[in-house]
Amino acid sequence: QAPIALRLSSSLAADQNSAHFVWTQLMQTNLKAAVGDQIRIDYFPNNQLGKEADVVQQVKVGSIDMMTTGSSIWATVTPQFGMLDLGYLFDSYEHVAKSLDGGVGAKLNDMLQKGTGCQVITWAQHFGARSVYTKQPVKSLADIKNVKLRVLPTPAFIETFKIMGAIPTPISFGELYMAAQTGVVDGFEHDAATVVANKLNEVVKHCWTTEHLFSPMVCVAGKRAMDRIPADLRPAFLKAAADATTQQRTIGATKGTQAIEELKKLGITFAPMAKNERDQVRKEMDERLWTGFAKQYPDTAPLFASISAARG
Amino acid sequence: MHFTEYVAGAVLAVDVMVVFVSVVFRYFLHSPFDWAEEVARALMIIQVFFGAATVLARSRHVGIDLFRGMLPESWQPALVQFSGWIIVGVSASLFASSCELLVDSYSMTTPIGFPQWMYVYPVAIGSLFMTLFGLANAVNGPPRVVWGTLGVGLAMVAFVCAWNTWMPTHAIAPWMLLTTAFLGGLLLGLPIAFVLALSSLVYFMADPSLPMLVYSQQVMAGTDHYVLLAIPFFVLAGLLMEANGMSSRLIELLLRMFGRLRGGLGLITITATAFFSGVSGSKLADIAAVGGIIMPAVRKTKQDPNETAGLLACTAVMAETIPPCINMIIMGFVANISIAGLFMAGLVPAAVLALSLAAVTIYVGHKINPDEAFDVRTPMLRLLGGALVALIMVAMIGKGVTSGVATSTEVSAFAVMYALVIGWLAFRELTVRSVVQLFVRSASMAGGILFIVAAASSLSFALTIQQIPQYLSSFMIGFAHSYGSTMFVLLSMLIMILFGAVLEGAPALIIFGPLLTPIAAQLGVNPLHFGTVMVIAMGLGLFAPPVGLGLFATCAITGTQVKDVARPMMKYLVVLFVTLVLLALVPAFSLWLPTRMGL
Ligand code: NA
Ligand code: NA
Repeated sequence: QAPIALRLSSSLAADQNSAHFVWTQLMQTNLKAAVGDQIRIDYFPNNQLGKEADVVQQVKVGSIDMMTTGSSIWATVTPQFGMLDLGYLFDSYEHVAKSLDGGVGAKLNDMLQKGTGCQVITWAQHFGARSVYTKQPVKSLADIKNVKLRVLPTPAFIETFKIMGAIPTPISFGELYMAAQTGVVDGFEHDAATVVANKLNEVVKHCWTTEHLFSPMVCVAGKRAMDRIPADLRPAFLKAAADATTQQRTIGATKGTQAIEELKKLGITFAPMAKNERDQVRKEMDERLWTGFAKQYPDTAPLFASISAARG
Repeated sequence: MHFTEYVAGAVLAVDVMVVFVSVVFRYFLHSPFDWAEEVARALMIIQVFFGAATVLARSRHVGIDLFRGMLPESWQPALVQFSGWIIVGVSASLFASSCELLVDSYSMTTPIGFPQWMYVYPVAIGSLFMTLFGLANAVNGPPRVVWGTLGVGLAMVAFVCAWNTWMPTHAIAPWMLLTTAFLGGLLLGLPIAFVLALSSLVYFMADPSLPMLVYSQQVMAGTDHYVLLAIPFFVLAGLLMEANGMSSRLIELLLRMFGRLRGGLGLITITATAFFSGVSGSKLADIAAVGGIIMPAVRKTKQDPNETAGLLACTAVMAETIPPCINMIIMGFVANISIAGLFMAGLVPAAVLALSLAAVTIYVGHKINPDEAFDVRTPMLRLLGGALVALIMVAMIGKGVTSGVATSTEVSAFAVMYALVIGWLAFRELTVRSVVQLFVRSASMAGGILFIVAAASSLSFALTIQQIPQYLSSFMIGFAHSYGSTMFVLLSMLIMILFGAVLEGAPALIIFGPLLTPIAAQLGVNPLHFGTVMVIAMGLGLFAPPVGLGLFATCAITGTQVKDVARPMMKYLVVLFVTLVLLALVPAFSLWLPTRMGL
């Protein structure tokens, strides 16, 4: 019998520093051990099958079976997913794991499934938190006033940085290197591994470790994809994914630190965000951003509560 | 037809304003618009699909009828009519597919929060117009041929459907249909955009894992990229510089300065194309501007028009890498190479190619008397003014890309504003009427180019699903390991020359750029060097006889015939090829400038 081949799309390169690729490799290994050659995953890296917004639609209609991404792109079909990108919502990846595994992930999955028929296979993580990288030194909230930062062009990121006092500047990622080099923007926010992978360290000098976002990695499968997996293999498939996530989270912790060490070697200076500033900003986010979001999407209010309860 | 072209022109004007104003707000007022990029992209999709519909109405989509010409003369009317019906079929399928996509998109937003349908409506409406215009073309002929060819077409579709339904074990595989459609389309002389769109359409129809709405999504996605905005903008800037009187002044000045030198006319053609290329992104605009002015001078001074037309086509290859340049933008975007870096990398190679062409033209050329070339002598001051305006624009684009005011995409909007405002102030030759016409013309022209890009990207999706890139790249990696990275670069160069000719340029970059560039990088070949060589090689294919579309366009513009131009052109082509091999072997030519500028 011919194996069931599942198409899995990612926006990142097929590279050991990519959280998506590492997870996929682990998944492929686990799956092989569990079901042999009955199910195969074909990995399409680098947006080969389209940019993320289009791939979301393709997972919905079934031409692509699965996709690994950050959570924000799924906000285009289930706006509640946008909550996970609000600044300072999480303190660490342990906090992310505890919250998502403790019920928040399941609730969001219900919302996604009701609206689109797609389902979350697993909540893994990216490698390292997102921080602010700049050409000029930025070490405090006072320094970041009116600094033009390229941020991911989604409302959650834009609002986060407006509250911090920066000027969030949407620029496509492909133009970021040049834009930072020539000074169209003064800096950007990203995770260390991505900075290394795209040589962005050549165009900035300083990192302010705001760790404003511990970004979950989500793997979503479409309805058609799940229907293609025979019922008796589904538990094994989901267990392979869950195990891949456990392994990937352990690797992620080391990879995140490695990337920062690498950047230090390449001459980037790191300044931590002061504890009192972090607390102050988090309070402001709670009042101005999280509350507003929970009002707009009332079914997220209990989720914010469980995330706060899972804190430290 | 007038409706679609004026809509496209008006939308282009709005789009220039959106980008221009958003840069002003970001740089000078420090309050960037969150929405500018998504809105600018949505506007571009309107331009592309309405522009493509206009081009279809005028039967101006580019294609090569060379292969069809080899078939018997008596078949020709039926083959042309058959192509017409294929265009209707492809457009109607695109329309049907985009309606499905539209329904699905109502439950989605863009990342910034706009409704997703704002991207899809232009595709649906544009493809509806394409269907209608295509239909008008298709029914225009002797009834027997019109309905006969339609019958044959429908019978072919019915046969394939029936065969695949009733003989599932011997079903014709999607990739076979794709290949057949591709070769058949080329043979028929179908416009290249429709060859590509047809090949991917039959693949989507035959592969049960691909719902039809993904077809229009992929066609749309092909043009839905912010960096591609630079294409309509630089086309427009080029046409404006031609219309505002700068280019005629520049060429007259060059003729008065160099006309009396041996090979002077050739030297002027080279210099003028290089200069004009520095303000415009489109090769066709460059050739139209230079050819339109230089050919009358050639005929008045009793020189050989075929010689000049051949040289003009070769200068277009030379100018392929002079920024701004559409093909470098496309290459940078598909292969993830810095576009500004490519712009810088292309300058020295262009200069080397120019010198080699100049050497030939001095060797074979004659002297002319510039006074015979013009009936009226324009005062020197005005001529110098024309040159100055052009120089400032070249400097502005160069500076703009490296200054931090704007990204290389946004600089194109500044180039348009400059050509409009300064061009008008300096020469007073632009009228409101002519400016409106230019916006309309550039929107259609860019629509025609970008529709090819769109169709090519749907085909490259089908090839990716079929995992062709993986097979081809493992072959190329194997080749590189056996013969070394230099041979790999040379083989890539030959592939680009061949497919640049067959696929009319840009699609060759879209399909092979993302495939070969990562391999080149793995082998330690600098992507800027590799990208530059690929773009020039593609240009050489595009302008080489017998199938190069660029050569056909050049002959149309200069009023010459390909069969007359091919022979005198050969010596220039051979020199270009030899120089290209040299550029491929010595990376320092392309890397010297980017390295010095720290790119
Ligand atoms: Na299909
Ligand atoms: Na150019």
